[in-house]
Amino acid sequence: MSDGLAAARPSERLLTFGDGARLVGTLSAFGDHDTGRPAMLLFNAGVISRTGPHRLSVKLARRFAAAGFVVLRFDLSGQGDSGPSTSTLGFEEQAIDDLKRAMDAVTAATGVKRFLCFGICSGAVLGYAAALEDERIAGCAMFDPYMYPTLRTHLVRLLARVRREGLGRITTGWLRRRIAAAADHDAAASAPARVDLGLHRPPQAMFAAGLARLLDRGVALLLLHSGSALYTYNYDAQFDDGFRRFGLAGRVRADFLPAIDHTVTELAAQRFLIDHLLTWADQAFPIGSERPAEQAGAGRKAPYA
Amino acid sequence: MSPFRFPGMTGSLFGVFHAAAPASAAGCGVLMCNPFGQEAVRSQRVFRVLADRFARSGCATMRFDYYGTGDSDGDDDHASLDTWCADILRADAVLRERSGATRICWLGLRLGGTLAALASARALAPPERLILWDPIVAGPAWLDALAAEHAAALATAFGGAPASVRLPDDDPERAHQSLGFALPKAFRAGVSTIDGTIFTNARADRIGWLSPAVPPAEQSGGRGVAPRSDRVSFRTVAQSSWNTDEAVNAAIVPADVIAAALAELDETMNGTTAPAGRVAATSAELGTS
Repeated sequence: MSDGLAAARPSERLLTFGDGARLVGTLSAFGDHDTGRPAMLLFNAGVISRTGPHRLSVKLARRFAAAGFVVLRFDLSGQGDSGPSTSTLGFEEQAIDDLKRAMDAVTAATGVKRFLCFGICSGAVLGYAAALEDERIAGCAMFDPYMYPTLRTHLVRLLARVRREGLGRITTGWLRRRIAAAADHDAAASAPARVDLGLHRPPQAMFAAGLARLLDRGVALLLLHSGSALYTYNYDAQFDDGFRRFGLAGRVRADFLPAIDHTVTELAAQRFLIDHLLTWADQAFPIGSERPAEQAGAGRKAPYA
Repeated sequence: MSPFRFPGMTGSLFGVFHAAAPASAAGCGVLMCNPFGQEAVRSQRVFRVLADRFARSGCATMRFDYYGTGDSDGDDDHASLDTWCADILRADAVLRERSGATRICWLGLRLGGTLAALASARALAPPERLILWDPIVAGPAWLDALAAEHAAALATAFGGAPASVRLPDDDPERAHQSLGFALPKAFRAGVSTIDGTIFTNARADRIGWLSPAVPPAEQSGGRGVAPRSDRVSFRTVAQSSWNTDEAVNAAIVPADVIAAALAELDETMNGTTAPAGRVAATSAELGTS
């Protein structure tokens, strides 16, 4: 990307769509030339509006638009500025339906027919679920999606805690909790809470099968894991270790980003994440390409690790 | 609810217009002024619910994003009190044009309340009423609080991991940030001048002040907005029940604030005035929505 293009500003316009035009989004694009790249879809992380945590989605949309991606950031039904749905669909089904309506609207507005989803946490797994259902999705980047700790994950966590607190204090605390729990079951509630970022993860085999289906379809995948999920994801090769038995080791790009927190709070972290995503997307979807490039693969070490 | 974009002084701004319910249209309009940064993220849902309630009560209501915030043009680096005051005046003109309303009320939350007071002093046609929800009354103290909240949030976000794992920022100026939003030098300089005189100089027939506690007279502008002033009424609302990330995830909307704001608006629509000073000592006295 040239400096001139990077410095240029994409145009942004409002896009309302879906039944009764109740879904609200902002479409970012740079010029009207077709770069052959998929359109990017950004939507809510939890109940935060389409601008994203710390306005990350706005910054991301503008950078990707300047690089030749059409980008739509939008609010799912009932969230942000979008109206509620009158259907009886459950949350996930409704969200996937909203994503399909978003793809229809982008195609009608720009002619782009392939899509790339990026989501954080619950947004990540919604993009994944939509990709399983809709073959228009050619790329799926997930930040803090489902995580499956391995034996080494537990050891890394324990070692970090020993370094931080000392073995004696940890052992004493563990013994105290065990004794209290034996005397009073309620005391067990005082044990440290498990941090899983609130996602109800499916069985690992099910997630592996879904990823394999997407790979077989040629969908470009990127899994990113933040430093806020150290309880369940805490070393570079964790994905490969955990998914080797499902034949996915080396087939999925999974990066561990311990310097970035779950909502990408710091400005340096925001810039790093956007650069990281754009580098991946540039490789996965070169300008003028019709299909994603060969998967980048896992095990790539982040520069700060 | 109609989203739209409109030209601001420096770029295109995003707004949402909530038309007054036809059966109860009262010729009254409300302009809602966002707080800053993460507080704006946290209050998005509260503002949407408030705007819906105002519209159902008969007041056309408009929400919007300042330049460099939300869905509007511009970047964090463009944060500026002067630009945002100009945006308020521009949005006020758009609200008057779209709604035909002749009685205008501005509601501002936190920095939005301070900006509303500041902008009212620059308005050719000031609002009839200002509703200031927990406005920032002392800029330097607020900057300190933002820095402290930023440090506390990072300590929690990384689960106790040492700060050395985080990315260094090679530009010292970029280190001035709070909860994901930049605090540019000019913006910090502007904020550091915020004090009670802004409220003393505010131009509005009435000022409704919603906050957890009545601010000391010297903080809230001396005699201008002190409880004895004949144009100010204070209503007590709960302490920051909306202003946490946990509240965002739970989509909580504080009922006492809705009740207090509706009471203020009801006075605007009916041309009545509450007695100056403290009009409700506790949120319970305000009832619920």
